[in-house]
Parts: sequence; structure tokens; C-alpha cells
Amino acid sequence: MTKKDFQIFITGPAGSGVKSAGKFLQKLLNTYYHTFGSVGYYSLIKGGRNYFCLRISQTPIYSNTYKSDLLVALNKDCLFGYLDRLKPKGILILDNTVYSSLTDTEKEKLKQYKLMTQEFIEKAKEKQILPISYLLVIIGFLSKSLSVSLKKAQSTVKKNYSKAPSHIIESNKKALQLGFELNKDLKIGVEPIRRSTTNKVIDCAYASSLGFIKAEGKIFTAYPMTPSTPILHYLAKMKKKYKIIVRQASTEIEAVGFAIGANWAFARTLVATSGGGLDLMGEFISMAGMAEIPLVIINAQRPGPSTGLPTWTDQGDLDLVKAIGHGEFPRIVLAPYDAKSSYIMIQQAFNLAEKYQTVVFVLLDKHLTTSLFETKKQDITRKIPIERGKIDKNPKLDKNGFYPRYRVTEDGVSPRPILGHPQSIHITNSDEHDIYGFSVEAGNERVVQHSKRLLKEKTILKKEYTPPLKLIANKGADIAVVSWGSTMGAVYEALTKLGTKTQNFTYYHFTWLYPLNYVDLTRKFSRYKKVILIENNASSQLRKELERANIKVTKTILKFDGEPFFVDTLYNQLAKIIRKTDK
Amino acid sequence: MKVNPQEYKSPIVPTWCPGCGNYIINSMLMQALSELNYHPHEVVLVYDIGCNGNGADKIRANVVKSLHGRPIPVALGIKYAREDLKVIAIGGDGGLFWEGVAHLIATAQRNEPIVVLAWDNEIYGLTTGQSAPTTKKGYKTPTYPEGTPYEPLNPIALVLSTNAGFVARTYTGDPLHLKETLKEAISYEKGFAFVDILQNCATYNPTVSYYRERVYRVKKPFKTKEEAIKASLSFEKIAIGVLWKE
Ligand SMILES: Cc1ncc(C[n+]2csc(CCOP(=O)(O)OP(=O)(O)O)c2C)c(N)n1
Ligand code: SF4
Repeated sequence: MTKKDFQIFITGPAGSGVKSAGKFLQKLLNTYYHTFGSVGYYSLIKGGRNYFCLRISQTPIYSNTYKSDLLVALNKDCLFGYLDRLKPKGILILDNTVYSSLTDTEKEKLKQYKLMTQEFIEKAKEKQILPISYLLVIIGFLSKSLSVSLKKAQSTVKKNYSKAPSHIIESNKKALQLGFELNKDLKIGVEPIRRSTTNKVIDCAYASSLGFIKAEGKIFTAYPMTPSTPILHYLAKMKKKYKIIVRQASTEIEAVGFAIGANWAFARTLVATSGGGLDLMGEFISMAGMAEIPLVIINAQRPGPSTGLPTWTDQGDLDLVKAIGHGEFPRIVLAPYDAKSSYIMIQQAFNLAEKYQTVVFVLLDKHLTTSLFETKKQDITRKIPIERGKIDKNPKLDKNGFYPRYRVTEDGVSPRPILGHPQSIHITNSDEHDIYGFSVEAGNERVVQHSKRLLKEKTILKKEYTPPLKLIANKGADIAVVSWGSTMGAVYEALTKLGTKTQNFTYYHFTWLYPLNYVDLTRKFSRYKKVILIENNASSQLRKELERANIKVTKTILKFDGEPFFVDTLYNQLAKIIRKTDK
Repeated sequence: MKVNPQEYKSPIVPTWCPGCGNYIINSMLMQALSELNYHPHEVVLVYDIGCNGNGADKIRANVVKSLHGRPIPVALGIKYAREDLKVIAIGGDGGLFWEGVAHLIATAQRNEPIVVLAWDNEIYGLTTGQSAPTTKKGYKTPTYPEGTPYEPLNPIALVLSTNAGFVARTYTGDPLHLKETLKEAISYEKGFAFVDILQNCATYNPTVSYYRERVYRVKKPFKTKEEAIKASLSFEKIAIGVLWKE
């Protein structure tokens, strides 16, 4: 029987290499199929239950399903921890040492699956394969049933682990070969759709890093915090090639203060963090608002409050980025939803930050920074033209010897003089100030400058506001389905599938989250009888914004267990709501 | 051609109390910079919040007035973006040694290429005289009317224990010494230059005569870290001058 779609779920304890073996398999299979891969891991270094969930398909895919067609578990704990992710009658692959460690009642529980046990480890030992390569025996085993040739697998392993010492590469190759030999009768049955591709599989941490380079970013600084850390690691590896500076800060406060200083001095500087780290940056964010300094911050969300679930996913920080930093000042919030949009939006974020001399947040989350998205080469090479905003290259001092940094203008944006010019001496002030940056006390100057800063928000709305993407449009639909950020993949797929049964919905996805044009939204949504809002949080944070546009959210689909949405379960939820109301 | 110190003159009149040491630091800073032949546009001063930070618009240079305790990271970012500029971070004892002490320690440990000037009046000036990390034990403040219960922090010993390349102490009771020390710090090119300026707070902590009786000048930096640290530990005989230079 041939299938269109197949999901492999590999789980093992931390340290067993599940993540890197899974990524390797996805890279390998991406040659032949569309793929989507995500990782799950615990906040520990050894033990626990890590997983790599790899879906392959004959048609483009953007997410995982909850249920898998095949499960590999490297120990008993992982097996029962994730057995529910396997479909009834799904294929279960275990090493015979794992199987023989089970009690009879445990074995009984496995009856409903197609069990395959193999002497992976024993045979690997016999062939003197290094323990570090054991998992690749299983990868080889699976590859054989997925139209991969041993030669292809071995050459990919060489490329993929190019930095590893040669004896490890040899061991990896032997492991793959053994896997191929052991696989006598595993049937997967998804026909390949191609023989080669230039498409890459990358995560959004990598895509953002590339976007930063494309934006002519000069400095990256961060304090390590999952799930933003991959960006630090990627850029640290790229720094020589692209001649950028990468600095590990001693605190998040140092990171953001550093970025404020460097951006003030016209070096495009990026900071990345996650919720708790962002909390620490609040006061400096407020300073960027007052002193009118460009600032771009990536906030890779994880479930809070507090330390929360460090290695899982969530969309709980929308309220935070809308509000962080005391006082009133303009800000922009962008939310990418895949690798391509991450790559583009980092570039846009720098343009916006410099044009409006204020803070721009880019909201990612664990699902985005660690999942592997199939991405076309041209999608991560496109350059958004650099716009640096109003820069005065021929500055002139006023009679008092200072350049009027905070001159009042029609759009609220005052030119920034180039730095280090004899005619550009100026004060940048976190205190309320006059047009020269001199500190002032209560009174009219405050009113003038505060109004000037807030005017920038109006300009942003007029010139930059991006309405939600209409990803699926059905004429005359009564229902609007709404989402933002990383949920797009699952929502889009679920709705596409539902579209074969009913067309009574239109799908809007927000990538520009703040500030919103409420008048535009009111107009767009007035025709819908029902609005379904989907978010990876518990309190439906986008709803508050929609309500400000008089949009009544009739139904929310919320998930806050630390996992992203899955196509299959989300489809069931949506089908129930939408078909019930279908005319 | 020599730079005229008048280039650094701001039209804004200072609002410090009569007798405040900040007047002296401010004018010695202008003189030091001009004597070193820096023009104002080649200099970036990053200020803390406090009486010290109220000096931000009382000098004519490129200035960023940052946040309480946070001038150091901002100064560092500027320096990394523009190596060619002379970047100086200025803060009070409250800001540098408590609120933002992590920045002081981390940048000193990494011997980052900026100058940090502590305007150390051993008191919270702007917030009307509360105890500071360098307030002497027993000194009566609005927070501790019965007397500050803690031994003070020793900023020089603290910074000496890191890898800072340049560590000096001076005081507002001797303007010329102050100026010369600033000049040495500002011209230091091998990393982190820290100057603890014992500053008279005329209103909440007058210290001119206290220090006049106790200071002694160190003519040359100590040869070993041990000697420098040892000298820095005494509050009875207070060493001023460049104590450490790598
Ligand atoms: C985050 C924050 N906390 C508190 C304050 C209030 N505040 C302003 S200056 C200051 C302390 C001033 O003492 P110091 O740093 O020694 O400087 P001085 O005024 O003595 O020069 C404080 C607590 C502030 N501005 N910001
Ligand atoms: S309170 Fe002290 S430090 Fe502040 S201006 Fe007055 S004398 Fe100077």
C-alpha cells in the first residue's frame, strides 16, 4: 500500500544523540520528500526523554502530527513515555535488549503495534562500531525503506559530520551499512517525489542569523537562555566569515545596554533572549523609547511564568512585549512563522528600528528556533534593501554649540547626526529633555517631546503597518480563523485539509502584531459571523488586540502544554467547530 | 595646536550644591581631555543617574545619559562600534558599586577598553543622602538614623582583584592630582582603566578634611598586585595615585 505521508518518532535519553541523528535523517530524506522535523528535549544533560519527530510527505508540509506511523524507543522509559504518539497498528522498532527488559504485562501493551525487534546493539558491538554511532544503525535501517541508497547515506554522513575525527566518520559509515544489512522486511511505502533538491532544512534560529547577516548586522550579543541560544551558537560560528562581533554578555542587562550603545553608534546590533532574560531588559527598553535609540530584540518564547518549562514551546509573551518598559513609547512587534519569514523579518526589524529610532521585538519560540523547516534556497538569500532612516550626514551645530538631536518634525522622527563629526556634538538623554537633549523638568518641553515620540506610532501605522496575511480565502465565508506566529504551519495544513469538506472559512495570520490598525481590522472582520482564534497560550493574548478592533472572538483553540499544535488533533478540533456551524 | 578647554564648555549652568566635589571633577575632566588634545567630538561620555549624572549636560561632548547603574554596558557597546572614539563611563558609588556592580566586575575582569570614573561620594546624593556601598560604618543616614551598620565596600580592592589593566584613586581635595590621574587613565590604551574619585558631598557627606588628613601619594604604580591590594586595604592611610598599571 502506498502512502502520501509518514511520520517517524525517535525517542531516547539525553546524550544518546537522538537530536543529531534525527536531523541527519531529515537532511537525508529531504532529497526525496517534503519534510518537517521537530525536537523535544528535557532541561538536563543526561537521561530524560528526548525525541526527534520527522514527518515526510509527497506534498509540502509545515508541521508534525501528534500520531506517528513509526516509533523507535531507545529505552523502556522513553518507550512508555511516548508510546501514545504511535498510531494503533503503527510500527514499533526496539532493540532486543530493550524488549527483553520488559515485563510480560508491558509486552502485552505492545500487542496492538507492529513490533520489530532487532539486535542493533549486539551486532554493532560485534562489528566494533563505536557506541556514539549506535543510533546510526537504526537510521540506516530506516533509510533503506525510504528509497535512500547506502552510498547516498554514507556520503551524507561524511558531509554532515565533516568536523568529526576520521575514526568516528568510519564508525558512522559502518553503522549505516549494518542498518541496511539488518533491514530485511520493513515496509514504509511512501514513494519519493524527487531525486534531488536544492531545498535546505533549517531552523528559524539559523534563518534569523542569516537574516541578521543580510541586514548588515555588525554585532550580536546575548546571555545564554534556551530557546534563543542556538542563535548565539550559529552566529559565533559565522563570525569569522562575515566579520561580525559576537559577544557573550555577563547578564541580559549588559547585553541590551551594549546593544543600545552600539546601535546608538550606528553599528547594527542584535540581542536575543527568552522571557526571563527579556524581563531583565525592561528598563533599557524603556530607555530606548525615551532616548530614541534603535533596538532589535529577538524573544524566543518558552512557557512561563518564571523559569517555567525551559525547553518547550509557548506563545505567552505577546502581552509582555506589548507592555515591557515603563512609560509610554512606540514599539513594533513582529512574529515570523517559519524559516523564510524569520530571515526576512530580522532584516525588516532593523530597518524599522532605525527608521523610527525605537525598539522592535521579533517573537520566536522554541518550536521555531529548533524545528527544521524545508526552505528554498532563494528564500534565504533575498536581501531587503537597507533603510537606515533619517541620518544627518552634514550636521550643523546650533549657536549653543550642540546639535539639536531631538528636533521636532512632522512625522515625529528627528534626524540622527553622524557620530564623531565636529558639527555633530549632541546629547542623548534618558531624562526628559528638550530638542538639544538638555534635561528638563515638568512643563511644556516634556509635552512637546513626549508627543513627538508618540507621533512616531502614528507614522508607523500610516507607513509600515502590515495587515494580517490572508492565507486561505473563501468567497462568502462566515467564519474567520485567526492565528499568529509559529502556529501557522499546523493551522494552515489543518485548514487546507478541511477545505476539501467545507469552504465556509477564511484564514488570517498575523505577522505584524503591534501596533495594529484597528479601523482596518474592524473593516476586514465585520463580515464574519464567527471568529476562531488559535494560540499556543492559555489566556488568548491576541484576543485583547482583536477586541480593541471590536472583533468578537467566538471561539478560541488554546494549547499550553509545552508542545506546539499538531495537524491531526487540530484538524479534529477545527472540523468540529467549523462543520457544526456550516450551512 | 592645543585644544582649548573652552571647547568643552556647556551653556547649561550646573546645579550642584556649593562646595560639591562634582564641580572640580567636571572642570578637571574638561582640562584633562583638552590637555590630551581630544576635541569634544572625539569623546563620548556615558553617564549614570545621580548627582554625577546631572553633569551630563554640563559639559560639551557627545553624551549619552543612560540609566542608574548602567553606563558601563552602554559605553562598551559604543566602544565596540567605534574604536576610534574615546569612551568614558561615569557613575556614582551607588550606581557603579551596587546597582550595576555586575557590569563593573565583568568589564574589569575582561579588561575591556573603556575608562570608568567613579564619582565616589560614599553616599546617595541625588536621592537625599541614603547609605551607599562605600558609606563608613556608623555614619548616620536617613536609611540608618542609628548609623550605617555595615563595613564599606572597597572598590579599589575589588577592581584590583580582577584583570583590570589600570587602577587609580584620587580625590577632589587635590584638583591637580585629580586632573593628572584622569589624564593617565584616559590615555591608558591597554584595556580597562578605573579611577575611584573620592568626592566631597558638601551636603550629605563632607569629607575634604577627613581625606586631607589621611591621603598619601603613590608616585609610581606598585610593582606587584599583592602590594597594590595591600595598600588599597587601609582606610586609615589612603593611597592616592595610579596604584596599578599593566
Ligand atoms: C533603577 C533605579 N533605581 C533607583 C533610582 C533612583 N536613584 C537615582 S540616583 C540614585 C542613587 C544616587 O547615588 P549614587 O549612585 O551614589 O550617585 P550620586 O547621586 O551620589 O552622584 C538612585 C537610587 C533610579 N534612578 N533608577
Ligand atoms: S548632594 Fe552632594 S553630591 Fe549632590 S550636588 Fe549636593 S554636594 Fe554634590
